[in-house]
Amino acid sequence: MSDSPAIEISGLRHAYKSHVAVSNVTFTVGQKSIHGFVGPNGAGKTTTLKVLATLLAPQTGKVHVFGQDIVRDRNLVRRRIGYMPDHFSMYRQMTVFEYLDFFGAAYGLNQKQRDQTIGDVLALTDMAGRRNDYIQGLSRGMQQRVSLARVLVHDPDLLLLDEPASGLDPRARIELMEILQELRSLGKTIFISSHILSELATLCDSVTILDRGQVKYTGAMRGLISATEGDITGYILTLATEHTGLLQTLSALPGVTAAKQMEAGEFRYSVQFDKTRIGPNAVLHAALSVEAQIVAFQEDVKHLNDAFMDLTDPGVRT
Amino acid sequence: MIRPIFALFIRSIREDNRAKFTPIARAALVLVILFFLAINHRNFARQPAPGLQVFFLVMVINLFGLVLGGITAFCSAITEEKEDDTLGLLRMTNLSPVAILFGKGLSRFVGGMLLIVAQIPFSLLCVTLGGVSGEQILSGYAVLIATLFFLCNLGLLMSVICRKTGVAVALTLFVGTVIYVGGPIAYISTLEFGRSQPSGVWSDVFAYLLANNPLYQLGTMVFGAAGRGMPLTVSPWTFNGIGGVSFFLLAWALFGRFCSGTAETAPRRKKSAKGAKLLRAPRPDGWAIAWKDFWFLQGGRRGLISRFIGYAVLVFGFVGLVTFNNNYMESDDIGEMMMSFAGIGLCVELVLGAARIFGIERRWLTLSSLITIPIPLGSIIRQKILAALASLIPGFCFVVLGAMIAPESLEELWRDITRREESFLAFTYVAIHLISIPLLACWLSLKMRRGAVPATIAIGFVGNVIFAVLLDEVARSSDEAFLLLGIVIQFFLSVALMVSIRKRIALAAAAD
Repeated sequence: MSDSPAIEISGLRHAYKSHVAVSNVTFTVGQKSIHGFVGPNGAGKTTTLKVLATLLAPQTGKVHVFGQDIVRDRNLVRRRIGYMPDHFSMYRQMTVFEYLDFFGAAYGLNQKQRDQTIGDVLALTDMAGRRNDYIQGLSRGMQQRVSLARVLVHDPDLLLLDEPASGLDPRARIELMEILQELRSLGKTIFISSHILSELATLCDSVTILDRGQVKYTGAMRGLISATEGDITGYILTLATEHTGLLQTLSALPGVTAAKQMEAGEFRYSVQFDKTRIGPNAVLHAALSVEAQIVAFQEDVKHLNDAFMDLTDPGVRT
Repeated sequence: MIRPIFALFIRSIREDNRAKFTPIARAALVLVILFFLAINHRNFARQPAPGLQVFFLVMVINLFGLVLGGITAFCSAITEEKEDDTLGLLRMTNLSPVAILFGKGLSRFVGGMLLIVAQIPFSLLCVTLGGVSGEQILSGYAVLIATLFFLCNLGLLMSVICRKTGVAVALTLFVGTVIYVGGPIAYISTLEFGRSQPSGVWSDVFAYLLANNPLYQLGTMVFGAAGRGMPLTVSPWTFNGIGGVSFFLLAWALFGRFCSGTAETAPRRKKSAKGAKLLRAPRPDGWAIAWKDFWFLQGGRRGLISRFIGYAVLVFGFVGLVTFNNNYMESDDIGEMMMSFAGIGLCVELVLGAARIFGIERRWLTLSSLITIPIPLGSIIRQKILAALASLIPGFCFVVLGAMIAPESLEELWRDITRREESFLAFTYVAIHLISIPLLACWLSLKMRRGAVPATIAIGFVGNVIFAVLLDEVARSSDEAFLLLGIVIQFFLSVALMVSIRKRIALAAAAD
């Protein structure tokens, strides 16, 4: 396998007649990682995924998968990807085994290879006991597992999953995430789209946030929070008892932009300051200097959803 | 009570108003009428009763369109809810079975009726051409609406009974054919092959069915009662009205039985007997897509056997019917009939197969998965065509069998084609339809989710009627040149469709 990124998109634009679905989309995804592709409904996620899956040709821009151009080397790219659309697209009159056997044969695997691979993917997706069941009778969660098994049957290097958890119950979602983590440990690159950022928070190494067809953020998941913060950071100070004069002391510090009690009757205080002018140690020192009985002093970590809300615009795309 | 009953009806009328197809279909029908009027207007002085002829032609086209379009629309009334798994949601609302049936059926009936009624003012122009009265025109449209009512309710009944639209259409066609066409064929066959006038209860039944055949009713209404002891026409409303209401009541009675079950649990493949194992799909190999289509789209060996049985029932049933009437058929007659029936069957299967090869993938939303398999699109198309052609083997066998029984007819046809230029061109013109019409069906199936087959047949039929009228009216002295023009047009149309189909497959896969 070459050292090229698993996905390299540069200046991608795609429009449906006058409606621009994605514009100037640029990002890369490293190999053997899980990359979240997040955006509100209508952001252009599915269009980008369809371009990556070679179903749509980019109108402008370049898209490479493992260094191969998705237009020029379409069939080579198709061998290395497994695309799972956001809907159930299955031959429901087949049994689970027949369905996987068909796709295995279509991808050029011989019978022996297929027997081996189908056994493996059914075990991985915990569907081995249902191999002779008709797909049409399976529950939604099970059909999702069979879809995932189908994507894996030709052993692709890159999985393109379009909202794979939509419509699944909480247990099925957790189980799906566990399967994806196992696949990462097997060396697969996983590109997973969702409109719920928090769902991917613990799973993904990196993330791209798309809104109204444009990339708002791309990079490490951890960096997403700091990217939305700017120079102002927040800490929460928890005391054992009430302290009059603490807020006045903190507010007087150079670089502190706000200091307030979080809830009336509680001894928790929020302090916001410019981290280029003052550090958290100085704030803590100031609180100790007025003999406040400190129980805890911790960073006010912004929730991922807050970051997502900051990056994306409100309302529905028109 | 009234509001729930009309809720679905009002929803359907709204959807119909927003649909692009409805005004196009109405405008197309009106344009066809105006076309025939314009063509016949030139021959006003030359033909006896030109208005009558135009009107009859318009009626026949309407009847044809009504049977094709109507059956597809009516049969999907309930099955579309079953296929989309939304029937359960409908039943959870305040809607009773009768409200669902009424709402879904009435909207389709009204839609079809409006399509027919919209033509009346234009058809009344036929009166000015002469030979037909306003009363005859209104009576003709009454026959059409009565037939529509009958077919609407028959389709609704089959839609309740069946889970799939395709099966409902097949059953409606079968029952409709037996009622509307079977009786007249039986009656006429007794006249054609018989040495005496038919008699007995069966003949009375056949005669009654003939009298209620809409084409016969239109014919007798326009041209008067036919000779040779044919029965006189009867009111279209008695038979169709009673039949339609009976089908509706039956659909209502059976609604609870056929429309309440859902597939909640996964059925396992049953351990089958040795004989049944032969019918099961083997493991796929190099031609995986052809394998998949043959076994899961065309029905595999089971489908082949069913088709063999279907053709055999059709052919031997007809022979049996004639024999039942104490008549005798020459082996040449049997051979010719076998070729004709199997030939028509093959054409129908060809169009159905062409509409299904990508239409089904589109309906199942599987095109995107199929297209991302690293096989060139040309190879995917070839494999799918191969599987579709394999399903035509039974029909082809019956054509060959017919040719073996009656080789003289084939030799005669061959002599005619090779010796007469006009016959050769006419044969080529018909033969090229075997390419262009399936291509049109395939193309339409990628454009519309339902109704590609009737739309194909309707376009083909109207196109050929227009071509025949032009051939008759414009190219009186140069039939060969005009036929050649028709062949060239068909050829370029086929090429254009082939190119467009490739593009549309990619577009449809991306739109999944």
